[in-house]
Amino acid sequence: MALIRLESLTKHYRDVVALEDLTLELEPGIIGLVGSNGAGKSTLIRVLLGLLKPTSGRAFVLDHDVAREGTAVRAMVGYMPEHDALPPDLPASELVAHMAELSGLPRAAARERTADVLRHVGLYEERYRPIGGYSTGMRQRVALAQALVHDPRLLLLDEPTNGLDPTGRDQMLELVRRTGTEFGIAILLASHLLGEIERTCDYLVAIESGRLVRAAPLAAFTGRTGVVRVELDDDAARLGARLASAGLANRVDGRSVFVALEGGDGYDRIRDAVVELDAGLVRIEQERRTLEDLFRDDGAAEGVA
Amino acid sequence: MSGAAGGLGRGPADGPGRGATVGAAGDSIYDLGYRGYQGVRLGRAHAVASLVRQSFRQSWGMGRPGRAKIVPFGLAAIATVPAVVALGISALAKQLGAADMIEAASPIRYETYYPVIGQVVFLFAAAQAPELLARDQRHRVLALFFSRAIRREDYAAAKLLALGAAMLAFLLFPLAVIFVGRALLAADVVAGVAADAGAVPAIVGEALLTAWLLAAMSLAIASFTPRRAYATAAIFAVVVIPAATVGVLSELAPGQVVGAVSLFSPGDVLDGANAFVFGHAQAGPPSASMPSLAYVGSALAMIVVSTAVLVARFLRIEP
Repeated sequence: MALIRLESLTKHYRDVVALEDLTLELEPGIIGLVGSNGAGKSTLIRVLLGLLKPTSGRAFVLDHDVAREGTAVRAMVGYMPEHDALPPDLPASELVAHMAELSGLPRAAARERTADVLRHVGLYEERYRPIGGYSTGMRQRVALAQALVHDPRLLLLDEPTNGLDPTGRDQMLELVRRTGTEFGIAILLASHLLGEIERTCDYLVAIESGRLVRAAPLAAFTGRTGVVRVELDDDAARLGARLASAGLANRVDGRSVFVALEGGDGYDRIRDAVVELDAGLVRIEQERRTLEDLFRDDGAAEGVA
Repeated sequence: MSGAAGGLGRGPADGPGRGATVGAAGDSIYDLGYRGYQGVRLGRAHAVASLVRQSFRQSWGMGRPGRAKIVPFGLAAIATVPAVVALGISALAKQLGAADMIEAASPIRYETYYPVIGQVVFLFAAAQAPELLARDQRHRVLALFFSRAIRREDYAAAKLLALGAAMLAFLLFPLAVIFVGRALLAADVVAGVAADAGAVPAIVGEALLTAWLLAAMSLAIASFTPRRAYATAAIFAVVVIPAATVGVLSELAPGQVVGAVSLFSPGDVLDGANAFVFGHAQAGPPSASMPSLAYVGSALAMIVVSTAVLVARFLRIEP
């Protein structure tokens, strides 16, 4: 059963295109939804929740049509909005318990789940104080708790690290990662920060201007590149020249030489060259692609086309 | 039933080991207090009922600091004062042997009670309708409500039911005080109850009409602004301006025009409907007599329009 299935999903706001002809099928897992601000991430999430009606096309969550079975979909889904959406006058315990009941949990179960979930996100005594007095980090935890309280099959997290400091960011991502891996809840994590996606997710969907750029397992984006980085404790220009004369294409950058290897005895030739020059070798490592490379490449490709 | 449900929520993982994890992790976010939920899921009807209950409590300031209770309970007290005073006077008159005379002269009785407390009822609606809606829009909590197992129209309906029920309680309480008081003051309690029982359908009927009309109208207005004060002012304006217009017009141009205008004034409409339920064929401002049934028709039309506007607003609103 597909977690999310989109069929030519299109959403226009008057003359602005938010989503254009998205067709996609996603299996359960931790899925990163990446794109710059205004790429259509929030719009997609809101369509999946049935909060927005698509202009055309269809969307399914766990095989339920979001346009026709919105209530059934929302009962199985937890949503953490991008913006602050918490009432300042209620304590977290009350808000989260009320939200659990609104997802269909009986009263007693709602109270019990609230206690569990608030503990899970790391809120203790504060839960009985009104949310108005919470720090941003605490508010984000409450927002996550209310999304988790009814034990959803899918979590839709829209920029969950918004406004957090680096420590809070790390903790939130770790919490998301654990929620996905240890409790088997599928997650769609929207972010404009590639680094967050790279650390947290195992599948990636990239959209730009409402169009699908690419959807693939994260490994496919960040696989090996066939380039080896050789780092020395001194200027690397001499090594670069030596390797070039030995027939190895390379690029020198300060103390590092980036060498393109095409199998064979490349490592041996690097080792020999280093020994001959009596250079201080710090390390030899495989270069990995990062997501930034992907977007840079795509940008360049578009520029050429 | 709730006990059984609580039992279902308790999974096998719930053991002493859980507490140890908390202690070890301290205030760290890495603590795992999480487990799945295999219990029953009651669905939409339960969700809506929960929203109604929560909103009803909200309309009386329950579960909030004392400040939030001052306005609703203060107004309810004011609305009950005439009932208590009337009962006191009746009791006194009875002691003095002048009960019949006072009974005939008293301005406070079942059929005059709602018109007497009319202004207080409007105040309650104007103050508490924004209480139920403004926060959810101002702090964008609607996004959380609308992403639950309910529909948008359920949200509107739940708020209407909650405020309607709160207003029903507000309206019926003073009359219940009079009813019980009169029964206790009567020489024969059973005969006293029997004598007043005939008024009950009219009392309840008018209360239902008033509660639904004012709740729907004030919620419909309040749904258009996240600012409580604006909503309160607007609700009051919708009640006061037509009433004042009717007052001025009856001075300047008495006649059928005033009667027609009064069909658009919520206060006059409710007074007219009150006259109808208590068996008066004619009603309306002093200078224009209208069939009282027309006011009932107007009240129903206002209810339909207000309810439709309220639901339409929440179907369109961007959460």
